[in-house]
Amino acid sequence: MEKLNDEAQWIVLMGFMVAAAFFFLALVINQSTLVGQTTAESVLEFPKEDIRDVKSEVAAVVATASISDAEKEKLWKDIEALYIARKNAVVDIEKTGGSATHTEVKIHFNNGVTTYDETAYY
Amino acid sequence: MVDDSAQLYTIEGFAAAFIILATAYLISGTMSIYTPGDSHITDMQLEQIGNDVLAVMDTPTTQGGESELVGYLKDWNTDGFNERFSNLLNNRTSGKDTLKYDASVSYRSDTDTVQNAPFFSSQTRTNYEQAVRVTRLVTIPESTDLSSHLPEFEKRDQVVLLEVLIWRS
Amino acid sequence: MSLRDDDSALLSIDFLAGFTVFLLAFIIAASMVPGMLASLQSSTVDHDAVAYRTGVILAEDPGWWFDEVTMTGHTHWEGERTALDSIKRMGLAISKDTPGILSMGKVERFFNKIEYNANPKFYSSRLFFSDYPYTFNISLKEVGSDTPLSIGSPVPKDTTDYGSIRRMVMVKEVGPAIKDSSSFHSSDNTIGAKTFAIRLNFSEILSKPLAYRVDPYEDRIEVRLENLNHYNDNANVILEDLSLFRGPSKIPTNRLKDTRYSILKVGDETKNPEDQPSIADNITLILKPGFFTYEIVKPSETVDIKFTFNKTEPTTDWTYLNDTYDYASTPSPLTPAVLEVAIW
Repeated sequence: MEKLNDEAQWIVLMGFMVAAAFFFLALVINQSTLVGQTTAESVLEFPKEDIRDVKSEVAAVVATASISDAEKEKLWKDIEALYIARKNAVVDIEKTGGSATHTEVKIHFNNGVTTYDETAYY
Repeated sequence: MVDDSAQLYTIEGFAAAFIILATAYLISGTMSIYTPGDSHITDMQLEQIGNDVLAVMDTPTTQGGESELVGYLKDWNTDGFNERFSNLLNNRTSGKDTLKYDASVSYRSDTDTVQNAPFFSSQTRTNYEQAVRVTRLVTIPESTDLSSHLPEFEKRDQVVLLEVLIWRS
Repeated sequence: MSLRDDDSALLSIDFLAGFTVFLLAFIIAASMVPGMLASLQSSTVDHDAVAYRTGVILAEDPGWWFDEVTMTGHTHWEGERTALDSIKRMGLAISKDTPGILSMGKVERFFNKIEYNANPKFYSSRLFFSDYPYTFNISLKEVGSDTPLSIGSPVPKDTTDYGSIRRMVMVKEVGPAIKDSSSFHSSDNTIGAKTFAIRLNFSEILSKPLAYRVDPYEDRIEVRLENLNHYNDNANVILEDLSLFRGPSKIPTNRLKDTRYSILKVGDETKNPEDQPSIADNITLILKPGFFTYEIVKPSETVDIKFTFNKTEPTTDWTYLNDTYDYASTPSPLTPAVLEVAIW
């Protein structure tokens, strides 16, 4: 049996080093993709404007004295139906109480990614 | 004694390592990586300005007043809407933008189904645009009669959903 | 075999030389790595994200003022002229509950080129909250106007060189309350000083919805009295005193005499109330945004701004303005404006 050839160990060592460097680099590039996704995409994914829109619409309707309570129920049904049909989000608006000075409304929002619940007093 | 038999191999190793590193450095320097996140940035910007414009148009400018958006919808004033929406959407602090849009109205009809009807389009869509969709709920008063534009329209106080597709042309 | 020739147990010189070269190469390679990554990083991702965040702070946040000594904080940062460190965040919205509606007082304070040029680092630290030295350009233009407000460096020509966001907002501005003096009561024909008061009932003023009210803590309050010459005795009239009162007691503040906080104009010329200026046909008093603080007036209180008029020789009977004007103004209709943030 021949003796193990131990020449050119430096080349092998350098080879390892470069391989390790590339591995490290690939790892970092992979991470940068992830960063790009979380900053821009999470902004898109988070339904901030939708929730605000529902809230402001509910507030405006509650403040309109000319609309009776029964009609307001219909408007809540409008919002719920429009959101489930057009935006794939479950919205549930329910008047839970109130007095002469204020109205208590429960708003539930769920689009599969984000869930939002609020008890609002208008 | 010092064995100097493999000196050439060592030098060759250095040279090889240097060439590999230099090549990698050059390649990575000229290469720009288009991450999936980049494509979402334009979407994010469009969605933001679209939502902002709708919110601005839906905010009454004086207390107790009616918002512009309600006015355009209840009168089905597509020209007025187009003029105002295009102006706000493309307004910049210097110069103009070139955004196009396609607006439609969704509503709950008298048969309790959600229907969608076109409102105004500033450019015919080819369906290949990279468009984003923004929406705004609008309450229109009972006196509104849009049955000539919206099939199975029920005349009552109601909330409709204005949907706008926005893209850069 | 001599002792010298036997090198089997020595740390070989080969190894030492080799390892030194290896270490040098390793150090060089390691120091190259950050440089390689710099060209790899997709910089627009970061800049666009920072631009988005800054846009949100400017358009949807009312900002924050906090005093470490008294441990009190509020959102009316625009009135701070001296202790800039108390300004923690420069948001332009009128309140957290009304995103996208900006206060003109904050806008004017923010887009102040003199203040910006005096301390650009301060703007960076209160907008980006980062050690990275971002360069930026922020501009705001009311729709229909041709004169944008802007601060920062000029925007690069190539759009790929910077991250940006464009926001559409509304601006709330309070115009002057213009009053004809003949619509007020006059004094009887007596000798001596006559007083006129502008009454600010804070709880009443603040009871309206956020977007449609004049907020005395945050908005400019401007009252213009016109047609003072309709009094027959309009000659030799001077403004003897101008002070702030809570009920009968005077509030000790010199803000009415400090042009950083308020401006008194007589016949459209700026005057110092301490000089007891003589009165022309009209008087304008401007309280700049941030004139009132919670230390001066609580939101439940009522204050009077009292003008004391007198004759230069107070010996004769005369008739002059002698009334209280209950300040009630509504903001001008909200105007849409476009806000652009560019960061690189």
